[in-house]
Amino acid sequence: MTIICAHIRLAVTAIALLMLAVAAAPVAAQQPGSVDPNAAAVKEQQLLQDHYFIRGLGTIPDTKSYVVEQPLGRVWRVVHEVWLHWIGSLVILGVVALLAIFYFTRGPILIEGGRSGRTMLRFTSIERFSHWMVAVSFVILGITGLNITFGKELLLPLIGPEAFSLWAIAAKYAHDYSSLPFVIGVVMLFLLWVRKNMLTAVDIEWFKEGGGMIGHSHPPAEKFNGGQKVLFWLVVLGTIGVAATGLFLLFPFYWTDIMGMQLAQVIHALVAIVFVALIIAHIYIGTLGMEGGFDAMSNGEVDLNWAKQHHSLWVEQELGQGRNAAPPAGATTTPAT
Amino acid sequence: MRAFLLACLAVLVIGAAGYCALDALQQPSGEAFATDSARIDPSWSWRTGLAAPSGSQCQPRKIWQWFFVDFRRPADELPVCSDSQ
Amino acid sequence: MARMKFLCDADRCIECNACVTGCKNENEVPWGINRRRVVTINDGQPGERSVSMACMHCTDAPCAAVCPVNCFYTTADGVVLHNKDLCIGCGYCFYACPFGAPQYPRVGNFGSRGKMDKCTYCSGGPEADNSPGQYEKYGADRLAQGKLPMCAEMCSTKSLLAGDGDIIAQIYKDRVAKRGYGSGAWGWQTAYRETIET
Repeated sequence: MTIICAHIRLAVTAIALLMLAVAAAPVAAQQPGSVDPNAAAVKEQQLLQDHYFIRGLGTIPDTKSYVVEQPLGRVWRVVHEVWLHWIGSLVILGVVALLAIFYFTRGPILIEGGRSGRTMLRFTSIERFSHWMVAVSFVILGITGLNITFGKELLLPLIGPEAFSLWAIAAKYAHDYSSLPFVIGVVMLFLLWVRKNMLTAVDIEWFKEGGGMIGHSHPPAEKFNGGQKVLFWLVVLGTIGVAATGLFLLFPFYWTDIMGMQLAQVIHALVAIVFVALIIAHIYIGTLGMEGGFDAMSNGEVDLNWAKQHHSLWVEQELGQGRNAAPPAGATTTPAT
Repeated sequence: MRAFLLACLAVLVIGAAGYCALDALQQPSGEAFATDSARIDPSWSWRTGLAAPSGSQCQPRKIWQWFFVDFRRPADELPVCSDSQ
Repeated sequence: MARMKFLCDADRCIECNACVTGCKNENEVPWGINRRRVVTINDGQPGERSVSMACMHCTDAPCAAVCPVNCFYTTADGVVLHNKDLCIGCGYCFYACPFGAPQYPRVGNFGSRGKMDKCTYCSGGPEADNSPGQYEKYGADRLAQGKLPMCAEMCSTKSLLAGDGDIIAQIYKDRVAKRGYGSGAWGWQTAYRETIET
């Protein structure tokens, strides 16, 4: 009996000492500073330096929300509010100023010898329809697009926040949905005119003589002169640029993450600014800048003297093939000998 | 002039068509950002363990499968039928 | 005057999402909109950290700067709020926000995603404090009742701190001094242009 009690006493003592040892261990670990759970952890600034943004894993299906921090948003803010603002103002106002100087010094380019009263067909109704579809959409797109950057500065103080907000909502929808007829129109114009817009040696000569705008020469030109051909290709490139980036902006985060969206917006804005400036110059030359130029797009018939002055090779081709339309005055055109 | 007016009309018509098309792609974020498994298929309910369901591809579980926690599912059944309610 | 800020102690966050649930409940946030969310970095690996993120109410808020209709305003407490009546839903604030705070009720094409919604620091919007109109649009206005945002109140480990910036910075500093480690105040450099020296 006593031996059993002795064994029991021994066992109990051993267990008690063991429990004491076990209990003492955690106390040692709880001293502050001896364990740093941060040792293997990531640091915010380190992650930002490595990747420019911090992305982890979340529990909600909106995967955009897994980005904890993207300080590039502040960079985009500066680009959008400051750089695009200044570039846009300078480029567009600069072009307007240059055109004004040109108009008041050189004046409009007049038809030499005055109008002949006889006309010939330059653009068919399909060509004119496509052009005007592009033109009307472009004006809508341009004004509503510029409204995003400049509206709050120029228009908001005039009409107040509520009215401006209503206008901005309408402008935003107009911008989104005018883009489709714009692209369709440009595609139509491309198919109609691409063959006539290949640059040739004639155009190089045309450029060398300043297109007749600098000086008073009359360089020969085909249906489209060198300047028009350059405009054609710039419009095609510009449309590809704004349409592609615009598609990304129209469907946010469908194909790209936030940095892609920021880049798409900046490219869209830069191309659009250059495009607007280009078209302002185009509108100038088609309306104020050249007597008889607007006729081509308004009813498709251009004055014969205008055509001979500006597109002499085209006149020869048309008359040679006997393809000119009957002039409204009833007089017939004489074929070139 | 006619070409210009027709062009204005075309811009409006094509724009409106584009609006209708894009509107069809809209989703409320409650649907877009919700997991499929959070959808409850009402025809797959333990109550239908008593009666055969109509129009559902999920075979109803027998009552004893619920009581005795039988997680097996028929081989020809879609995995989504195993999603929790 | 207090300058309200958020501080998420990434070393204490256990990813319980009580802040998310509290926010959604208090403000009747619709499905799919997540004013506050918890993101885990290095999930499952040593050094896993979770951060609770919502609008940080930045100094010189980039969202306010890029808004085409200037619908944002900053209150005297430093809380960045916006006016949903003026918002046109263009989404630019989301591109500018370093923390992804703006949310939209619809997914889809530019500008038809509905009015932007975001964390309001539980202080409502431009309508009268605690009016039903304000609650419907912006959620609870706890600040006008003298309370702090629900997310911080709900935090189970008190890792998410909300309140006057100086006070919570001091709380965090004391915490770091006492326990001997701290990964810093996440987002403070980007949002407030300051760090907490520990």
